[in-house]
Amino acid sequence: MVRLMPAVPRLRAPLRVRSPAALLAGLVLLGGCAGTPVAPVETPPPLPPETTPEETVAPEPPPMAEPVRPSPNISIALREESARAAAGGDPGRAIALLERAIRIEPGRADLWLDLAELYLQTGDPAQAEQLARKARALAPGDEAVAERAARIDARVRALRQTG
Amino acid sequence: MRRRIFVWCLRITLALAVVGGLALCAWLFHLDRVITSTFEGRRWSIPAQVYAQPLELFVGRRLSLDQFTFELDRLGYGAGRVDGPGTYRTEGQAVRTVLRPFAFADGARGAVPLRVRFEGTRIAAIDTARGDEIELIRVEPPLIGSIFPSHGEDRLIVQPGETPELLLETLKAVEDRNFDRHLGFDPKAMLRALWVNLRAGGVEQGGSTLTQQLVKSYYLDNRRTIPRKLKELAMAVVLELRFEKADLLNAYINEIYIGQDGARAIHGFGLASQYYFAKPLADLDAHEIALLVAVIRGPSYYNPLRNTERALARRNRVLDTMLQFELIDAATHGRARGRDLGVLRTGRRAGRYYPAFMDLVRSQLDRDYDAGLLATNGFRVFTTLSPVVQESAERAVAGTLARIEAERDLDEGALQAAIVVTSPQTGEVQAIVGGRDAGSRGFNYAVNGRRPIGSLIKPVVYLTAFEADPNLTLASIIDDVPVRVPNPSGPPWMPRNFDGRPQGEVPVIRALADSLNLATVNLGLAVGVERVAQRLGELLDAPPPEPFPSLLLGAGELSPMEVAQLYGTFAGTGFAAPLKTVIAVEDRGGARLDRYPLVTRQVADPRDVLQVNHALKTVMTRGTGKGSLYAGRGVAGKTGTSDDFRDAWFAGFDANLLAIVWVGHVDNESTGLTGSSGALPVWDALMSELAVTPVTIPVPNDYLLREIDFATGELADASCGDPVTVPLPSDLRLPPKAGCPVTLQNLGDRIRSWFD
Repeated sequence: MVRLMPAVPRLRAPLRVRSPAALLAGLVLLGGCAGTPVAPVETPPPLPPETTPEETVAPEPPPMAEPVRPSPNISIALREESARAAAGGDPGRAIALLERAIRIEPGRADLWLDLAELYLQTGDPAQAEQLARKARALAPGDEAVAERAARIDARVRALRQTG
Repeated sequence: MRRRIFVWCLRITLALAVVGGLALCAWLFHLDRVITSTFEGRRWSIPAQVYAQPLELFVGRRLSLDQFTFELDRLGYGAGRVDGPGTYRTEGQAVRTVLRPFAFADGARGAVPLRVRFEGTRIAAIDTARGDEIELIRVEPPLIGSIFPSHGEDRLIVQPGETPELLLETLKAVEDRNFDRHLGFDPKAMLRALWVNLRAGGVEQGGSTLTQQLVKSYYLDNRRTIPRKLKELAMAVVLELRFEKADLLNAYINEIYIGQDGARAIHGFGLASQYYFAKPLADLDAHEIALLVAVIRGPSYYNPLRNTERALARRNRVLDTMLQFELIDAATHGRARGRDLGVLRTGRRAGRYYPAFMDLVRSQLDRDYDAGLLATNGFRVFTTLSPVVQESAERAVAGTLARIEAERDLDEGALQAAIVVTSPQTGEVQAIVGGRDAGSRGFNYAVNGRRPIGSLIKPVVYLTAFEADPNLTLASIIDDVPVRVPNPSGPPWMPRNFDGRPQGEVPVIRALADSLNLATVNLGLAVGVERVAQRLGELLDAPPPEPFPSLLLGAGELSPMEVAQLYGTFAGTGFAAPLKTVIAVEDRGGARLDRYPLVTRQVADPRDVLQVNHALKTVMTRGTGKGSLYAGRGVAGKTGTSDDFRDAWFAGFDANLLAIVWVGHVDNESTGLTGSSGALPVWDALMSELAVTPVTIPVPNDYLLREIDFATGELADASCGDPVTVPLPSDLRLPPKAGCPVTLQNLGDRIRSWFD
């Protein structure tokens, strides 16, 4: 098993010898310790069986609440931050930010298109193509989505020819 | 003469002393070498820390005030006050808190004061301390476990700056009063202990210094012999000679054995603080510090989870010592003594440790990391687990199984269940319930329980059929009639419908929604069993199963995880995202080691999938799933029951979430339950605690939504038949049902039909 160095704590080692006499004296006293009672040896106890609280009431039918979508401002902020990260030369972080936005709203086609464009930038046309297709599948009637997806497809083809 | 003997004795004594002294020195140098070779720059193996998803807070998010405070409690936030990071207070329908800082995988965030207001089960507003609105913010992710080495030691390293002064002083006061001055052993302490123990007739005090305890914990096994004690003492002395007191103390803080959790040995105060109190060491109060110091003397003898009286008594004695040494004032002492132990109770601890999910994390990482490296280098692993969903899933299983057992007069504990919840668009695994006893390491039914899937296979059969025949639609008529399938190795296979009654000619939508066996078998045989088997293999990204005809009715065995992968294609409208549990791995310094990015791949034509999905929605509105609490809520799903009612399945999804439920018997006996009566109620219970968003099935441009009769597949409306809405190609000509107004058909079709 490999044991590698953690940052802390490291014990420094100045070798200082204190009084040897004290050392010897202590060892002599050891004789007197022969009879010191020792603490009980610890052995792991068996764990008690875990139980979780049980309900025995059938759940009530849920109220018919309108599903509320997250504010569009959320993905705007994350998209902007992602664009800044990409422009600043950190595509890894830009991708992570878009993934966070998608985690919150997986059904938003424009987030998938943003991600596709990032993968074009990082030189992964195969992924870009799949992500663009996904965006189209999520919003098939949406013309704006279709346009962006078509542009991405064109760039994918171009990359494939040159690559 | 006596004088000569005296001189001679003196010479012998001197010689012996010199020889003895030299031997002693040699021995000490040997010990020193042993110590420095393993202790110096003591490389602790630092286990990997594993985090769940952070709780994302945004306006409109489905989250109740109670759910929010529950999460804060589990993160160890101090309740009832707001005086620094890691505290919160409830104010009516709002919660005021200061979030702790955290270095996320995609950026660090400092401490943030917040006020979150709730309306019913949703977040209504999020404001900063100054009153500015916040769109989105995440709480720090909870630590859900660690990957520790095979020797079982688990620890959370704390630096000197993270260790409260009170803890250090209390430790010295209780265990080793003379620590700052002695040279590794304390003769006075030893004598005192000897005296006290003799008087008490048992072990009351230990005479070991902290250094001796460190040596004992560090190097030596548990043999309590004289030579061992001698060695321990000598090593303690060497340690003291070599290292600074502060270093020794810090080593002790991180090393000392302090608890046991199954196979996991808890070492060090950092982890003990997390384990017993779910709080960082720096946040502990006096009574909590006292308890930890009390436990050291005997982690199982004074186990606060099992031997509460003993633990409480000893903790209070420690508090008395703290007062005696003026480490705390009388007021604090009085308050602390009055507090109960404060350790997290068993039930809540079970909720924080997710063995089933951790197994999966380990197996995903095993592919890319050497197990030894992973367990020893202090990595940080960020996973996909959603504690809110996980807790809901565990409650759904526990509550529903108990209710079903009571209602059906089954033995208590007879049923078992598993749940897998994923986000099908991304493949992220949100929750895994491996069995009824979610907190303990039993058999993981979610990952390792491969069971016949019954009717869960049918969407695959129909998908293959749509792909094979472009003219096949949801209105196409197929035969739900008896069929005899020859079997080369035995009697022919003669499947039956669930109620034994063939339905004759039925439209495809009905065959799938009502899960008609005969229609499915006939359709599957027409398409070809090999083709269905091939498709199943492709969708699972695995070798195709043997193309036995019984495959068409789900004789094949899959685990709930595999079913989740399979249904991910449907829930993902033809796109498969491989299931994953890990998002990123960082090294101890925060540098990114690995990212597991969002990956998706088209594996089926969305136009074929959406027809299947429409049928799956119809399962819920009028098919075998119509008993669900969510029948009218736009979700989609499929029930499944295996032979002899041994396995009850339900696979259901909404726009964002897919949940697979399996219910069975511990002894693999028949439960008498179907997918609808056994698994669907568990699914309902889970979804009732989560946000449900209807599945929208977009209709392609060349399709139209039409109403057809559920029984016959002809055009119909409510006045003359039993209509169900289905997407059909715009140019498809359908006859109206007998007795229905001819105006249901458009003029062009009507004219054309004269010439048929």
